[in-house]
Amino acid sequence: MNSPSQSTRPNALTLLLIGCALLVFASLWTLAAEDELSLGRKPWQNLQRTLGEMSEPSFMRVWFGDTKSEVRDGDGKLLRTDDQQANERQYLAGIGRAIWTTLRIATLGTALAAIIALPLGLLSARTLNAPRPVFWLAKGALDALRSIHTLVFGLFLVGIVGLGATAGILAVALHSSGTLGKLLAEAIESLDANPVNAVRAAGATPAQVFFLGVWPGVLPQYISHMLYVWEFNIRDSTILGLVGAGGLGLLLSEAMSLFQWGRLSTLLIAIVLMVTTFDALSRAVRRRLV
Amino acid sequence: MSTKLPVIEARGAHISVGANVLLRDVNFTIYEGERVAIVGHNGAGKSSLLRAITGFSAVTQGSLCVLGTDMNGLRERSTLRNVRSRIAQVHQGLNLVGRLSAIDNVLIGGAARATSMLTWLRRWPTHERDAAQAALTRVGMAWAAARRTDSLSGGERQKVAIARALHQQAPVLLADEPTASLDADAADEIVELITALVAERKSTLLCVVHDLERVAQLADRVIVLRKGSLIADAPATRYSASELRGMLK
Repeated sequence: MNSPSQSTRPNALTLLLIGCALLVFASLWTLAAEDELSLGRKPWQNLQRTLGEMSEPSFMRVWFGDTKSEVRDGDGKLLRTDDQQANERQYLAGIGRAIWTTLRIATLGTALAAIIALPLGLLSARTLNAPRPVFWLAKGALDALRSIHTLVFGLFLVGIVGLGATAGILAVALHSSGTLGKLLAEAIESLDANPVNAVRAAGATPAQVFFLGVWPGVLPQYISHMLYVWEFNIRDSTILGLVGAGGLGLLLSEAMSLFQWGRLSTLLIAIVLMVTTFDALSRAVRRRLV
Repeated sequence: MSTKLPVIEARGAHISVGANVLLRDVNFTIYEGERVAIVGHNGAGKSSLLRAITGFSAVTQGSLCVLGTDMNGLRERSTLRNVRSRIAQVHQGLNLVGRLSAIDNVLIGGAARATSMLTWLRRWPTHERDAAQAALTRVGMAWAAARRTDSLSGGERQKVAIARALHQQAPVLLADEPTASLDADAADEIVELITALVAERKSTLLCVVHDLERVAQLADRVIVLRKGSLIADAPATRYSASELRGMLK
């Protein structure tokens, strides 16, 4: 029978919930005290105006735009005449090029990550019994790579290799190698040991045990994880341009800085279409692999 | 006294993991060409004994000598690989690499002979490939050479496992409950196959048998284990299945 003190003691779940509630309260309280929870001036009007402008995506002007749109200065003086249809066609072509750059950044970054992750993942799989110092080194490297966001790597690498896609590729590769390496190590650790031991029992060398017993079991999972990370990287690469690391992010940053909500709307539609298409493609391939 | 060479010799062999004793003071000698069945309930120490024979677990006291090699404190990996290469195994859970084809699984049996780096990419010498194909033909599975083993039935996979053991060309065959989880017809087929192959190759057979009716069919000698101790070691015909069952209670 439980003693009274045991029956009245709060269980771990209750303590956890109390802890979470305290953390939420402390966050709200301190942010409010620092005046950081303000919604700004006229938030509803701003939201309505932004949504209104975004409801007219700029790509519509390819068909409905004014071919002789007059641009005047504050005094009404005619500065130039624009062909909105031609402008938007050019902008759309620019989005196409940026999407292509984003895809290449994500693809090359993921491919490079797969190469970096392979030795780190193998060395940090407990069941492969790498020497302890090497194991901890590999595991530490994976944890460090995974804990630094792609965008942070991007900022850092732009300073080293300059603006452009190279920084983006390296940023994606470094962060993703942490994720892929961890997933590979987990896949190896969860592998059924019996077939692997059967290869060992035939007198195979350690390399043969790996290539004939371990690798065939983890390869489909590794490819599946690579596709999953690639999917994720396509999403991640869309914002890398914000820090100058190439791709769609540059156009996003430009549209937001110039308050071109119509163009931002076009960009968001393009991003959603691109991400959805490649998510579906990757999911279909992954389903066939496992 | 037998003039044949001893293949496996256990002298006062103990196996324990922490305070848990899996095998206690076991003594026996198995000579070349003998067919020995090991029987016992779960936890009797059968699989522990087989694991110790193949160097997957250590004898904590006493000695265990396999094919002239003392397995106690065997540090040299190449010696251990050499011993393992001379003991073919057919496991209880089949233990095939499911994503590889039947022929690729059989070829693994020759891994100790063909150690070239090309084998890492499953590129085997032609004579190895021919021998593996012949092993599959011998067990009646030539038709499944290119099929992935995880697409085969339990009986078919067990035949592929036997073909792998055959391809290993080892003088000793260890079989751990080779008919477990098979239906009666498939089990009959597997028992016939194992006995025929052991006779053809004059191999030494050490077989863990769960179906006591099959002891006399598979072996000439029976070793009975109970709670880690050897309680009987006699010709297989000495005890009927019901007597064996009684001993295990």
